[in-house]
Amino acid sequence: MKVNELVCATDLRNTGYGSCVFNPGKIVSAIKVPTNFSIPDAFATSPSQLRTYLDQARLADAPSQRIWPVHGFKAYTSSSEDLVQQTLGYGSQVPIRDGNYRWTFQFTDGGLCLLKALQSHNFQSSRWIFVDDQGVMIGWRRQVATGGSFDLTGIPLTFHAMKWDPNDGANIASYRLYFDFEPQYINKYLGFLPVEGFAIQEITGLQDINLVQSGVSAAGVIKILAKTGCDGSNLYDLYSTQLAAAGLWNAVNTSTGNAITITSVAADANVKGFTVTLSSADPDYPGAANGEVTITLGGPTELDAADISGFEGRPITVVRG
Amino acid sequence: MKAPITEISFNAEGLKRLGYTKQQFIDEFSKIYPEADLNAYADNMGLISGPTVEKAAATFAPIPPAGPDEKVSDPIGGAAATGKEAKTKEKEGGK
Repeated sequence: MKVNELVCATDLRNTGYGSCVFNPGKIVSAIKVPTNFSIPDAFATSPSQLRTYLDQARLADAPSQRIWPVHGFKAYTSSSEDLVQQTLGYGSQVPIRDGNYRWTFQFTDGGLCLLKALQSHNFQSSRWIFVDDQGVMIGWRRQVATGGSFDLTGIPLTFHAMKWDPNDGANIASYRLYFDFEPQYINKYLGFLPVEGFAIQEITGLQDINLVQSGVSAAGVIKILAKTGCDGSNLYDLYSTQLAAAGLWNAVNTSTGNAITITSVAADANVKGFTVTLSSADPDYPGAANGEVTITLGGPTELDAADISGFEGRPITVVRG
Repeated sequence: MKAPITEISFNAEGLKRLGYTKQQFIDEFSKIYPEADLNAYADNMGLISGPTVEKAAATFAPIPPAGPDEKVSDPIGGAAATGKEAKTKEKEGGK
């Protein structure tokens, strides 16, 4: 290209087509992905690699590196902009730009609990990959690294988990997710990857484990219950053996953030919880009985390795007693 | 009737790092886990026999604070490690 020389229509595609074409089906899932997340082109031919890759990403200890799958969309509503046109003085209309996509999906599985979790993702920049009912992942195809392959990445968009609407006697309570994005990402830069060998619904989001204190602390001896974040189910019966492992628990001095040695953990069937003992000899052990300690479990990867798969512990702050 | 707590996961490396003797260990944890065979646990962890808690209080020097940048000896690996590193190692070993 030279100065004062235009390059027009260098990428006109031909209009013939073969017998196998991609027609997107109903969108049934969406996966929030990190900004730098991409599914390598090579995984298109390796379902097991793709499965492992997604599994590891959902278990990432750092939330900023984690994927957040949401499945089970039951209805779709479009409020997408129409083609934006200008009407000229002599009556003709000329296109200015394609309107933005504005998609709303309704879900029922997970109910208000899932909605509340997703509302914590509102008002943040986010990238998402959609999945249709044929198991095809739809996203933004781009070259992540100069000279590298063209990979499938998340679409930059505005996400909003909307406020819920009540059951009106004829319609169930409504939980809806709103996605607003520029059309170029799934038109000019469309990327799609059929998932084969497994169902994308097998890649599920993590559940929170809420730690709850039972009774009161006594000189660094603390009884803790492990309950699911949504319904408060006690996990003792399922994971009492796995969770009774000192190496799986962490404690820090809340005011300094320094780690305190946990000397033991034991399953206690009497409270359906766990006895956690802190070392009073540890220099970071709070000096005063009302000094606070924050206790949590290891990250999702560590829990998964201990056969407690698909969970992340939420910290609890208690006085050491 | 209360169910006895006899299955306990002790942080062996942490207890050793903090200088617990067998007797100290038994004295402290018998109040928390009275039904457990602490003698066997102590032997399994390799805690050595030593003075009682009362004697220990008089004879053991207090463990100096291990700040994030302060080096402390690492009884496990032998190499020097920061306080945080030492605790990380003991957790890994305690799994």
